[in-house]
Amino acid sequence: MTQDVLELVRRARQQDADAFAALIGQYERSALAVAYAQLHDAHRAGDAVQEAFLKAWQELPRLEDVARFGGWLMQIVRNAAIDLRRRVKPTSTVFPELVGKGADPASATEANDTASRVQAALATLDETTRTAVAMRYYDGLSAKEIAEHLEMSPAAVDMRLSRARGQLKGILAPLVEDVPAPLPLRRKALGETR
Amino acid sequence: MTLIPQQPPDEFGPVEHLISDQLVATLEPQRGKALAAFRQHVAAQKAGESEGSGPAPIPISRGARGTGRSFGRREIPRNALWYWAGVPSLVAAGLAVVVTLQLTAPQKRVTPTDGSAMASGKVTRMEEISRDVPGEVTVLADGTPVREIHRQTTRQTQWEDARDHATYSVTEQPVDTVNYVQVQPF
Repeated sequence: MTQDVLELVRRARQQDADAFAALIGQYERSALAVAYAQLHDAHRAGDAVQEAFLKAWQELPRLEDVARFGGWLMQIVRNAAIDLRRRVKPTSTVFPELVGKGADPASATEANDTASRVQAALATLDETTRTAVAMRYYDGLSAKEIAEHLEMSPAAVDMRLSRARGQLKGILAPLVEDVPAPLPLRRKALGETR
Repeated sequence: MTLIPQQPPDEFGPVEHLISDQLVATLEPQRGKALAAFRQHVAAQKAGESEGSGPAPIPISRGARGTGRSFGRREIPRNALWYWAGVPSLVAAGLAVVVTLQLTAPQKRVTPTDGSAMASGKVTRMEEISRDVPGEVTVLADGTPVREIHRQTTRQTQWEDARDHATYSVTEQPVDTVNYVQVQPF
């Protein structure tokens, strides 16, 4: 956690709404990843995150160790998602965002199919690994940052991510066989200046 | 010597790209909901603070009728409050007493043997209903096989009381009589 974020947390503890709004921007993707790993439903994940941030705002003055903010917040998000799962039944399991209103029906069906298969593949992972995968591939967090949020060691996160990659490749490889691999980054030395 | 941390291998292969694309497409539209809800919450909190802490109590003012204060503003004169709370309560209590008395009052049992009632009224209908119910097959002492036939008879009498012109109906306890019918052996 950077000093800037720590400062935001300290200010938010004093009920500084602007500081907390900045923290929402900072942690929203990770929170969505945590909630989605629990709920498998984007809309409900959004609702859970919304509830969780409001609860965090109310509970923040009681947080003693500000350096633990990330893990503390993710635990609130997880609890909110579990609570929502108990209270509300899922409404949709597909990814409606992928289907535009003017989209070609064939491509829309294919997109939904791909989305469903990715979701099913993610569902084969255990909850912690799924959360780590979502944080890594949605929020782009490093293993160290994921470890802070999940209150684990970076090595344990690395191990989980590595296993998950192998498992997901085994399931999803047929989907990407036709897709060309991204081009490798090319670095060109332009000489040195002294 | 400077130790250069080993860079992790590029883990964004096609599968990882696929997962990333799907997660972004799925979750990105949900961004902004939390911030909007938080802003709304804070605005509501501030509005509540400016109006005073906690919900406003209902003012009960001791005042004369016709001061122009409306019920819509919840400024209820004490006299009116007593009236609107007290009168319906009294009416409800009165009704409850009447209904209770009606239900618990001992009812006069009138039977056909009640001579006074029968004598003062006239019987409008009397009917007897019976049915035969076959029973078991038994053997009499002389060796004759017979089947029991139970005849169940019920009598109902209806009459009108001349005093109050009410119609009463009494059903007597069913009477069971057993007859025997000879059964032809093979």
